[in-house]
Amino acid sequence: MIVLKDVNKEIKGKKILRDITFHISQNEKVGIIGLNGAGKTSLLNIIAGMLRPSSGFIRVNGVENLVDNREELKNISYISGTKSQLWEDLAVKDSYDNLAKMYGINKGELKLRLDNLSQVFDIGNYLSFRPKDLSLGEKMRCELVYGLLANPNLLMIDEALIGLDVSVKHKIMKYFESYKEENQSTIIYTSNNLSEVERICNRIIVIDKGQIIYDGDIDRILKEFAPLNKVEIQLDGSVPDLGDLPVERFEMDNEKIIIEYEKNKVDTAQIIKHVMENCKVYNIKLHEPDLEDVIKKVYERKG
Amino acid sequence: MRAYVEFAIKKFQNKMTYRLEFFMGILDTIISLIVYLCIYNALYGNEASVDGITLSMVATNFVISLGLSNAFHFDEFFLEKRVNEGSICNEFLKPVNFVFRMFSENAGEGLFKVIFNFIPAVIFAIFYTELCKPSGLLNVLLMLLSVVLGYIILWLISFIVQTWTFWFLSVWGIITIKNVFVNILSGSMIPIWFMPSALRRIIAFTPFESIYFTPVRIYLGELSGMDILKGMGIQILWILILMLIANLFWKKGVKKLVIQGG
Repeated sequence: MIVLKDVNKEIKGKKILRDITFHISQNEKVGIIGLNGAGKTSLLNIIAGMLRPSSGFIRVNGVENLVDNREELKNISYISGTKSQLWEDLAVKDSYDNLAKMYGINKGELKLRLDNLSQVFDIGNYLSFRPKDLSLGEKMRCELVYGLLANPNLLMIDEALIGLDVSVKHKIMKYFESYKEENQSTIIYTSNNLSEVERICNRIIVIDKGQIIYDGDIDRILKEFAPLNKVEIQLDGSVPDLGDLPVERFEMDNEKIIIEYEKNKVDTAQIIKHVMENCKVYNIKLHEPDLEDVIKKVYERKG
Repeated sequence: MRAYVEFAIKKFQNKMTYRLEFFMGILDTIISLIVYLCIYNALYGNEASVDGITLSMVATNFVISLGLSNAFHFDEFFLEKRVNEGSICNEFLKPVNFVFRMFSENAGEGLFKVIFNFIPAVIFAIFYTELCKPSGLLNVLLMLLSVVLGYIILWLISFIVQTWTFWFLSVWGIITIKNVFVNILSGSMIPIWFMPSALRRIIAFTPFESIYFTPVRIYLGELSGMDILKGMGIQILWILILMLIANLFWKKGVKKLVIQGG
């Protein structure tokens, strides 16, 4: 469905992407993760045909130049957290009507899909508003509905959840999780957040400095490269004995102890319970594993 | 095709929501008409005609060319905004031709303003001053067709200048200069009849005369029979030439965009 072979992209002497080769088959849910500036968005733009590679070969849905093929464009959708697709000074509903006309969706079908999606994303109340009168989160939900209305078989989502609050994020994640099970279409999802990708995708491509450094199962990367979880506990004087706990590493001084551990060996709760039973605890701080550590680990493994 | 009509309709509806802008638009057209008519009234004094051109011909020229030029005023930063924001790339992913879509939106706005801005101004002018009667129903119909052709010429000139946004960060200055040329050379500020004959001969070789002056002359009956066909033929010829140029810039600009990124 999507084939990239030896794709290189150079813009004004700067290498954006190097030797990108992969194949994504129908219905795969692929997460592309990388730090800021790693080339995620450029890669997505190249797949969509909005950016032409300096060298290499690309085919999407059997088409080599997607932007020039209007029929094929009806099957794809690109949702971006930074570029709006809605008609800025018209009611949200009008943008949807316009989309239906562009994609040849009839009125009955549009109503059906919109009823369903507006329930999922809870945007029923915003339909008569203009995007500029909505908050960021409200607008982003409307953007997502816009991208999903056309029922695309390839869905590209570029950092669409940036700046959204937890409850909204949760709602959106849940929707895409259902996609994962029902196997409706191919999803390419870029993010710099590992846990987001973990929920939506089953395959992950890690890119760093324009190169693929990992491409494979999400479970494997979590098992092999998942960084250590970290908990920081502020103590009052006494220091616990961690002897029996299967933690990887710990550091302590008279005020606090920092424990690093693997989640599949020991529960966070177990550690905290152990420490609290033995000492007086002021404060506990949990650190989510971050992407930088994964990337570091992948590099280390590669040698 | 329906999708493009839909873009025009949406823009039309969009314009309806800005009521203040709509009233100001009418006021703007009427005030400029009054100003120009007063000036020419004073210039004419007691003369019945100058170079064979009567005051009511001048008034008719202004109602049509100035009225339409206000009505045909559209967002000339459409492209610049999208290129600078980078949203133009996402627009390319919509399954419609971007240029036709842009034209449809602008045309929808133009149609709105013709109905709600130009026609009220014409009605005002009929009561305010003496206008020439059309030389026949056929001439009015042909004039309307010629107005549409004129609009396409005006739009293409603007589009060509807008495509330069792919190379320059801002096209504000160029657009302003372009508008000065269009306003003066198309006869919406000084009727082309009164231009020095040397200048008039030069203008005849530019697309500007085809924008408003050809419709005006068809309406007045200055062009008749084969001359109408010739006038409209020249309009069509300009449309073809400008389309070629526009296409050239557009293709080059888009190519630059997909190679260098937005």
